[in-house]
Amino acid sequence: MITLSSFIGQRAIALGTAADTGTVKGVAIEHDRVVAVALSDVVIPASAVRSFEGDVVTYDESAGAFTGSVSAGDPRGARVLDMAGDGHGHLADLSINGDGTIEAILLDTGESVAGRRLRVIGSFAAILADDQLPPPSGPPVG
Amino acid sequence: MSALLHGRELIGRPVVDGATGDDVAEIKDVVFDPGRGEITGFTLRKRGFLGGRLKEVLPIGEVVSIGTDAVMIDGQAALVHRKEAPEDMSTDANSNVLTNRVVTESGRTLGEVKDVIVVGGRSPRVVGFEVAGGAVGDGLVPIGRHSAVSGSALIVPDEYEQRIRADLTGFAAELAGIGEGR
Repeated sequence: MITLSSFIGQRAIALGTAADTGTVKGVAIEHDRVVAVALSDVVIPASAVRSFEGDVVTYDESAGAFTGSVSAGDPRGARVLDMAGDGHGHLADLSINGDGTIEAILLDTGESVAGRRLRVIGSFAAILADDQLPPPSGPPVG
Repeated sequence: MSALLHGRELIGRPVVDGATGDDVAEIKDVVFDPGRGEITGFTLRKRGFLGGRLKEVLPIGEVVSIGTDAVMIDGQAALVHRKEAPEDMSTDANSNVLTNRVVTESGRTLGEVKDVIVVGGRSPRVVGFEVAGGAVGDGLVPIGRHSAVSGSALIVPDEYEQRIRADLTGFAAELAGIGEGR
């Protein structure tokens, strides 16, 4: 696992040529997953990244540029709202798994929210989905 | 109960699309149907200091929730052109309850409506009025099942004169009491 703060600024190296292609500038996120990574001069799909957990970002440059509609950026500092319209502070950092899924959203209040609650990060706010209660467990009643 | 707030607190509150995380508008005014005593929607303006009025409005049925920080929708299709808005969102003179006189059934004037009191959350609605300038002083009057509202006056039961509260905390307790009394 890596934090977004550690990920942004890492050197990026293309696997095919071993060329240093700059640094990580931002990420694009859809639901609880990083879908693209913005490097110095190009935005690449997250599927091209070998792992999010190294000291440098190695990626397959033959995958081409990211063509999705989600814009890439640095979401740190974004407001965090739930679907009730209530604020939860600001996004301080993200914990990112090796496969690019968001494990947790770290808030400037010191609290954290499960990454699976993340709906989207937009120009105004990161939106959390409603809390889903876990399915009932234990022995049947009656 | 969700938080109580003055209608004026909604003015300028961002309308946020939960599908994109973008702020698509802000509240310009609350549209209230006096006959039914219900919020029917909101007029909108563009975000920002110099934001102009938008042609789109937000019907109450498209609101996901009114929260402490934003009015939430789920997709920009929630905003409809005012020409295509539900009929109960018309904003003629009779739908403006501000400055209406609040009068008891016995004919005692309690004051003029200065604002509506709204309960937010998933089922937003008007639950009372802020009144001022009357013989009993400024305060908050509940809107109950016996209240009648026109384009010029709000009629409330006589006993509501005793139920005027000075602040939202006391008003919330009063509303709870009315609910229990039903």
